[in-house]
Amino acid sequence: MNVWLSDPSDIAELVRWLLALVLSGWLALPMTMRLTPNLAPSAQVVLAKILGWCVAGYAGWLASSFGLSVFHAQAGLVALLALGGLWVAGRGGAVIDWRTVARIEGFFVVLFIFGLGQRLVFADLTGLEKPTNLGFLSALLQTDRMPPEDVWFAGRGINYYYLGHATVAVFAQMTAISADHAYQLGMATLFAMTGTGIGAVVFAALVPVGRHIATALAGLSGLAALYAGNLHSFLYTILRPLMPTNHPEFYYPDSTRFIGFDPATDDHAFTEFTGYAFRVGDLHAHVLATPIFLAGMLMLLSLLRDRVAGARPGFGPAIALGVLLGLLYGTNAWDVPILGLGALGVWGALVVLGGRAEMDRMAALAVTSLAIAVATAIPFAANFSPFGEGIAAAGAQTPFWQLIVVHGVALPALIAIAVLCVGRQWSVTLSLAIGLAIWGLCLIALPELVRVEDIYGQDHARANTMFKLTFRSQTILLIATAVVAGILVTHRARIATIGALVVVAPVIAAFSYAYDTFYLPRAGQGLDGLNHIGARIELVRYLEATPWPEGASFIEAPSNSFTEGAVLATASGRPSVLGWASHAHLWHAAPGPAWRRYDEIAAFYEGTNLPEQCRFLRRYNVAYIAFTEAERLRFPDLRPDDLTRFGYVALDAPGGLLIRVRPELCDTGSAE
Amino acid sequence: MTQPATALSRCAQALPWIIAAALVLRLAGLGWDGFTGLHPDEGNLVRAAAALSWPDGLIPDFHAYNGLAVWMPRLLAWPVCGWEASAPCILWAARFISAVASGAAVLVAALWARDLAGPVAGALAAILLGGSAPLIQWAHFGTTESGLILVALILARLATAALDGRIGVQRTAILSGLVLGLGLGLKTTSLVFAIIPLFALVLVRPPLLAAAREVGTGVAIALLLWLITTPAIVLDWTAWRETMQAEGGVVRGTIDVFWTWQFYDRQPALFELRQLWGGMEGAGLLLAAIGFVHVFCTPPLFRRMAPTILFVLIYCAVIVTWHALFFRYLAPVLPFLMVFAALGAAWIWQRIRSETARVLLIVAVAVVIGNGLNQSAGYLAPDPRLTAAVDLAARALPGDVILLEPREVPFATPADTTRAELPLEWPLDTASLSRDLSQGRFLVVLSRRNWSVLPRLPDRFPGACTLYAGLASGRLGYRVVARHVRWTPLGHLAYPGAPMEETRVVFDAPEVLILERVEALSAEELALRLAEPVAPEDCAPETLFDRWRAPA
Repeated sequence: MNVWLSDPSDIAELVRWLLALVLSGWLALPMTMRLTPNLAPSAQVVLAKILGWCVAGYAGWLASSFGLSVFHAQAGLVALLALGGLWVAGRGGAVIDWRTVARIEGFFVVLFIFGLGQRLVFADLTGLEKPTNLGFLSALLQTDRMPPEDVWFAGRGINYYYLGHATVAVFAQMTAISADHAYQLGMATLFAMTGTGIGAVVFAALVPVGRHIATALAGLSGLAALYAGNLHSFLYTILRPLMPTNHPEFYYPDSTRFIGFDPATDDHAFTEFTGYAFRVGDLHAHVLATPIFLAGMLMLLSLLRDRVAGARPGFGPAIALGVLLGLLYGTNAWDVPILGLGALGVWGALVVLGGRAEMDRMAALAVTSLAIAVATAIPFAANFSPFGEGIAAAGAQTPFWQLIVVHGVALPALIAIAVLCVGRQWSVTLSLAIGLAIWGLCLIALPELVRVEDIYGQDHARANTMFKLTFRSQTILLIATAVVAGILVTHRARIATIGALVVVAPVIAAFSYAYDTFYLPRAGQGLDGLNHIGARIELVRYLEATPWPEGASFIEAPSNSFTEGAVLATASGRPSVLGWASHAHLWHAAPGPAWRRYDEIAAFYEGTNLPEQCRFLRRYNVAYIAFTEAERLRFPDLRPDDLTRFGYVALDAPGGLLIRVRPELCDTGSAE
Repeated sequence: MTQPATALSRCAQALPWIIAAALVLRLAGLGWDGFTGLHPDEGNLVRAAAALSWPDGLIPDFHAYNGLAVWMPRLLAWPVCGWEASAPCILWAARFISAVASGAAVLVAALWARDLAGPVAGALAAILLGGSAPLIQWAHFGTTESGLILVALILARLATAALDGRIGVQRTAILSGLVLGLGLGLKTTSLVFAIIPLFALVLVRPPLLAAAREVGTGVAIALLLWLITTPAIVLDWTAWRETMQAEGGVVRGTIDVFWTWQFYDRQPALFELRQLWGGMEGAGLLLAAIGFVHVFCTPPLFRRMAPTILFVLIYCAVIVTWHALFFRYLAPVLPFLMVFAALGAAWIWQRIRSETARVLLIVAVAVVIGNGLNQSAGYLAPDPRLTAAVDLAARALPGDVILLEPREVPFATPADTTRAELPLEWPLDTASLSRDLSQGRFLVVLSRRNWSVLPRLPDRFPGACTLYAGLASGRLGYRVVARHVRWTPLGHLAYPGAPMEETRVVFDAPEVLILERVEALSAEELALRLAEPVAPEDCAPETLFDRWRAPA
């Protein structure tokens, strides 16, 4: 049958997932309306959707972190209870406008379907960080308590920003959906939340200048965030003959690998953006954090709106902002200082607007937000060791012309802001645009001055710093551009209308990137993300389903990062002694142990020293040994009999063997 | 500022619930070590209690604690497990008594604070003491810290009541004598608490003759109770006196024992201040300072608390002169500081109109409670020594040699293995040490008792630095293959670090390390490596802390 999702069970899963999203959003709506009384209703509905998502995820994760629930079995129930509590706490406020709710839900579902369609064009969860993120999800769906065991480094908990993955896992658990399917649906959720979230911020900012303009620019900026690129994507495609380049043709990642790559220098930097992130499809920290960040922006906007409306800033929004900051720490820690910078700006504005009379209240709100942020983040931080090794001077600067190429989409808007300032055209909305512009420019300027020291080599010393800061700056400047365009288009002077077109023109030009990012849902697509592993799926299903001994691990051929290796651990969520070695090195700050395990596994598979092999099995409490095509290729001389000395064949499938280790064979010498 | 009546009544209504919650935190996880008795002092106490018999063995043969401390667990275990109660049952009884005493102490502190400054202060005292991590920890030990705290707080409340004129001099003397006598039945340390009622009587200024009579009555009651509960003072005087002398020698440092080695090179007052800062989560100590200033600036309140303040000052002045600086020696002071913190917090809440100050206060109180909840939740998790034993059984092969450090608690090694104790005595026998290390397959480090102390004192324990730096770096052929810690919700964030006194963790929450020999080195090679000089920073406790924690 020529339909979009050909498998009826996929359709059922899609419906369950969407219903869970609708339910969580609706349950969070009364509280959201209480917290943000002066925000536009449509923005409230979007914010509620994100808050419902966050609260469900955090509650499910938190209960398991404190040992109060078994994550893989009860996280969904805990999430529903928390959402129920939120509904009870929030009810009794303003009346819900169900027409607005229905309209936003409609937008959301449409974007969700487009996002899912895009994701399923490249459905296989292989390449770049997709195995990493699938491994997190799989591990979460197997774990009793937090943190889940690292599937690529048995014996240690995940030491990465996995709180966003836990939220996806909570919804997967709630809707009884497998990890790989939840990955696809989670990406679509983030796609829709990012689109509607950016639209909501723009809409809420521009409502005072006119609803129609606000709606149009919200739609434009939302779509630009999802499909458009940066100015490079326009200049190096449409105007390619005019641009200096060493690359024979345009490849869509070029727009994120430009500084230090074209022309090549020793200072490589990454400049990713949301459109690229969704095209790539990595369920990674910065993507998972985007809706939370946008919720933070909406909350800040709400605080400003309260003040403009003459209301005193309340503790509710300060608490909510603190929770969001705390969640960001466990989801993508870079966003804490980024959102914090924005919050500091808004706080300063509120202090100025409130005068001396409000100083005490403002200080109390700041302390409240900080304390709640710390309290929210502490359960995550309790089991997490940060990777950063300090802050250093950037050591290199980007040529100015390259900064323009990357960030030039916002250039006309920045000029327009300057002109409006010179012309003393002050308004609340212009102040907002100025604040957004300063915020975005600070994030662009920071990696030119300093960098966070990490494991990247000297030639990529500021790559990650620039990546994380400019990922957000591009979104912030996109919003600033839309706000400026809104101001100009409603201005009395006719030239301002032309100015608005000039401001918007680069955004529209950047849609040239949509050639690589826009994919309609296609007939015959499915949620399966593990098609690429072929017959080994039987081994995965066995490992998933078999009762797992406490603290046990299994072994498969060791592999390096960004390869096809370690698929059994990645897909099953069972801890292997070692998966991607470089990732284990990075996450656990353990180059020695990671590569030592690499050698030990190789020595075991190749080994003839029985006592040492027995020692190895015991050292890592190995319960299963895998023997698949990967092991055959890696160890050509290896025979199944070499492994069955240590146990019995638990599964003999076309994809390979799984041998159940019997430790007593080593005790009695029967392994001889 | 007048307190709204509703707020006061809410505080009064909340008090029973706070006390109940405090009791739950203390009773949760009493079997934190599976009742195997992994706290050494508790072990001595329980052994003495189990050895009691009728009619020949009525006097305990262990005098570090007095008769009541030994008899009470045995008597409570009797109806539960019978007269011939097993050690685990007596251990449970000892801990139960401790937990209930700690809960009662919270109640007394709350009532005292309410007497002093009203219901808000009472509720805050209950919250701060109820959620205090050290108090919860002591409540889980069947030793006498909780009992002593209860005694001190009752005496303080009686003193205030006497100064307020709510009870007469005679009644004060009798009740104080009774309480003090019971305290002496637990531990001789209680003698110092006599300062509180005596100074209270001085401040009340009764006629000299009456004062002498009432003091005499109180002292007689206390001594009588002490003798009744601890007849060994008379019947086994020599042994009791020798024990007291030995205890005194350990405290003063004239008797050298391994458990006080950690105090060499410590600055007494600063060290204790640091322990208090950690024990009260910083925020509690700051609140206590505010509370003290408030009391000092409020003469009527100062007078009502003067006996307690004098006791705290004298006690602190005495213990800073001691060689032994155990955290538990601060037990009689800590609850008073918490009450000061409650008074300070109540003053801020009621008198400071600033919202910022109130938010900061809530944060400070939340920090204290959060750590208390964390401490209590940890007792529900299995003990790291028990999980390490199970882990080792799965790792070891028959015939393996398991090495253990000396000066540690008992540890179960797998049945078909050989256990050996590392010869860590000085002068160090490097040949024996090298031989053992070359033959051992696993080395189990049960706590930081050795590695955080011995390398720090190179003049006294030469070679210890090289040994532990070599074990941590892998230079001696061993590497950490498993690390067992007691799970707590706040994990390493709330775990006392290297500067904290070791009994904060070694009794109930040690880090247990299993090291495996992964490189076959001969005894000769090991001896050479043990002779190599090592930079002092490579064996500093902080360095070893980090290296042990690196993943295997």
